[in-house]
Amino acid sequence: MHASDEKRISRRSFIKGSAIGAAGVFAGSMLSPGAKAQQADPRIPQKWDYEADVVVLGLGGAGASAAIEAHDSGASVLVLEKQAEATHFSNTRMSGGVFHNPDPAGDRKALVEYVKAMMCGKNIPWKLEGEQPHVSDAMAEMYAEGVMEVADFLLAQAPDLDRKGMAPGGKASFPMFPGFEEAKYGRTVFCGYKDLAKADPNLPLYERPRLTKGSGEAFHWALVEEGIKTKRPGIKILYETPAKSLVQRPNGEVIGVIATKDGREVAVKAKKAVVLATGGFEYSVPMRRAFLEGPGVKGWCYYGALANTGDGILMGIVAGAALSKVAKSASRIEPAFPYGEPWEKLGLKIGTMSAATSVPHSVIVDNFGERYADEHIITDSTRPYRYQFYKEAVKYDMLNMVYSRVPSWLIFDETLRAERPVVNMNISTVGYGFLPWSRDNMDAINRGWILRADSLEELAQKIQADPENRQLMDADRLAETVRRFNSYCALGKDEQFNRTPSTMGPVEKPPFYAMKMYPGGPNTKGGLDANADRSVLDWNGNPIPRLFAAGEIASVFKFTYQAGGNLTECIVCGRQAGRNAAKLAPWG
Amino acid sequence: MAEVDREVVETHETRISIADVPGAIDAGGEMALKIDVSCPSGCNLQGMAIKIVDSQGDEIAEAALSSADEAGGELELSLKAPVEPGEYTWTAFALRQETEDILHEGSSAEFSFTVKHHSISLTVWGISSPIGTGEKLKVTVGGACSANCSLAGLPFTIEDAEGNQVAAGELGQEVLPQTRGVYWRELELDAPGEEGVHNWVVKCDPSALEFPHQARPCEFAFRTTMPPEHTVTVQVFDLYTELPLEDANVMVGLYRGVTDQEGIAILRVAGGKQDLCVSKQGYDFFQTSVDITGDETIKVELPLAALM
Repeated sequence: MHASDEKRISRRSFIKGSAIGAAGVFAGSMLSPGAKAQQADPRIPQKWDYEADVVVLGLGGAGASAAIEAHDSGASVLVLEKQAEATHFSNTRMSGGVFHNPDPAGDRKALVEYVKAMMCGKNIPWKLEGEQPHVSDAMAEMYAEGVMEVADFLLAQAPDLDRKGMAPGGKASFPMFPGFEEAKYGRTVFCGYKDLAKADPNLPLYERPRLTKGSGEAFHWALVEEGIKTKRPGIKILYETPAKSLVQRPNGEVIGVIATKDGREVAVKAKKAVVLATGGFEYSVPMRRAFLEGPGVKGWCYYGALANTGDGILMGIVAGAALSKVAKSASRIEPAFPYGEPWEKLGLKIGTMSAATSVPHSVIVDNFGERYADEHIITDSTRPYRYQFYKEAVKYDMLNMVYSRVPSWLIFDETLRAERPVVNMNISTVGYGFLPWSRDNMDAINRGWILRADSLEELAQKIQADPENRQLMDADRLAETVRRFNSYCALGKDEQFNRTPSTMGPVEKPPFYAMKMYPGGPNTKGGLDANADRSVLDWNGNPIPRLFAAGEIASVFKFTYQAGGNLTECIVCGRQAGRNAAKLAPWG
Repeated sequence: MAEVDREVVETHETRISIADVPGAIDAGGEMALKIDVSCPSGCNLQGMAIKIVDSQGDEIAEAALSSADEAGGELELSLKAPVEPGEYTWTAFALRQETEDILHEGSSAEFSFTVKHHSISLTVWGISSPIGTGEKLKVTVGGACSANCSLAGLPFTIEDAEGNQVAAGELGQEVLPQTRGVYWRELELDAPGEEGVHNWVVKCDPSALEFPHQARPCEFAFRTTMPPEHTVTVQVFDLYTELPLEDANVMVGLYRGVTDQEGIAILRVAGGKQDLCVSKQGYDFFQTSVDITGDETIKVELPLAALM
């Protein structure tokens, strides 16, 4: 185990801590520990259907990295994935496929400081949240070590990836953080195969030939298709096998998993450890209700894997794991649309990625018809705000007692409608065909997903008639907002919010359109608490034996986040979890 | 069989109710009302005569209950709203009806609604801003009626900030594509001789339209500058693929352009130090300061933005 600066955990305290940690969950069996050791524990299966040294739950970026690393450390590895192989869309696969690759010439100490600031803000005098004193120093050290290897790790799996897109350089997102200059953390970099540029740009990325994959598809292909299936056929994958619960000994030690396969329960023995890499809770109604601010179910949207229902978070909770900053999301505001009756009954829409958030001929207004921000900060990756913008959007209007920005409304005109698709058609839920979209946007307009009107006044009436607006829209305010914005366009300066001039252009040509935007984005970030070893921690901060976590389920970025941080940690923390899991002595 | 005088043996009360009354309706618009007459004894009232009368007692419409239900009958009635805006209260009567041996008494109910002006929404687009002083300013004026009236030929004027008329015209005959009823006209006007931001206003005269219309003037702004003297060619490329980027928004000072398939935007700009901004969705935003002293070609490479 790595030693933490704040809390050195010796072998003795590790065992003691585990017992204490398990007490809350297994109070019944703690009455006479040891006395009934010979008696069969009904929670431990008599017979195991499968077994491996390391059992990884979830085959996204984190699960794949954990599996690869555990395998390369000499462990036998079994991966349980709930989705079917043919329709396996992890959040990694549906993402932009971007990550971090700091300049090796940067100062290592500064890098640790900079990373620590992103993770927990511990070293920032004005930080207000993200406290993780029990893990912060060791975690930053671990990450600073791992992040330097991410690009090489990807290239080792897939040599045809384009190194050029991964080149370090540029400016990182948070110039106000300690170590910014010296760390040379750099801008977010891109994962794509070398031949991507030759691909037909009209094909969705996932339909292009293997060598022309880009974005999350490239990331997925490198890790899963090449890294595991081609290079390491010894790693066994069971698709359509959702894990349901962890098998624990009375002392809390995790020794296996109960999963469902072909309609029956199967017991999977994990001789060394279980790695939870099941992702976030984007599509869990109860968890959204429990953890997200404001109308958490109807009022939020995510555009990643629909299979992310917080399964691992729930398994962790039952096993006595502590939660940490669960409400955190890598989010801003994005559009969302109906996705069939079962989802609508739950109140869930399916999100997608806007391509019109800060382009000319559009503004974003609240439910009253007022702009509330420089729209460009929502998409501008060169400034620090993109992944925190959801906090603006869920702002509570105390005087009116409404979440006046849920939903927000993208107001745009015919010029923009005719010019481009207003959503990203290459990746995410539209790219993968979950949502239909036509390049002229007319399909969405005809479905009523985008409102259309001959005048702004009529558009305001239509917005008002939408139940989610709660009759707040004021036609005069909307018309005045647009008039004022258009005059800023003529002036060349947004006197209200200082929006970047080249992203501005008047909203003027009829018909006018309105599209709903919700707080949300690619993924949730909070979940189980885990330390630098990626051991899952109980509520006392002590590791639950033989249980590790990596990826969205236990993001290391508790304070803030630069684009691509989640994919980066998938590899850094996935490898760390896999390596540490493989290192353990088998229990039986 | 000998003919006998028919005797009414029972008298039933009726009760009339009106549903779906709009709170407000456009002048001359259609109102679809639902009239329901019930008999507490559950008689079939199909065919019972209904009359709608205004507050002066003048008859607006007459009809009969067209369908029966378990306790009376109902009618869906479409009425034309008055042309004059204002508050109206009308009365619906179910007329006394004798059938065989039952007399159904008449009943009545009032209903109120507001007739409103049609409103014309004016808009101006396609404004060539910034524009060199004294050059031709292009604008398109459009208008739509809230009740979807034809505004073909609607006369309008454009006034400057001092209220001087700078142009007059009429909306065209065609409906703008994608709209239900936007009529429009393209104009070429003389841009003012002074540099600066100008706020002009479009007004229209709806008096010749069939129904009463209210039209709010529409302000629009544009900027005049010294006539541009230099040609700046901006070439935009993807940093990694080195391929040209189409549809990037380019700004030099106040002058804007969009790159074509070759990634090129050609802008006519005034000289001097100004900001060059290039933005494209999916790419990092680029901004720098340029000093324009003559015709120039500027190459910009954009890195892919961190999408996720």
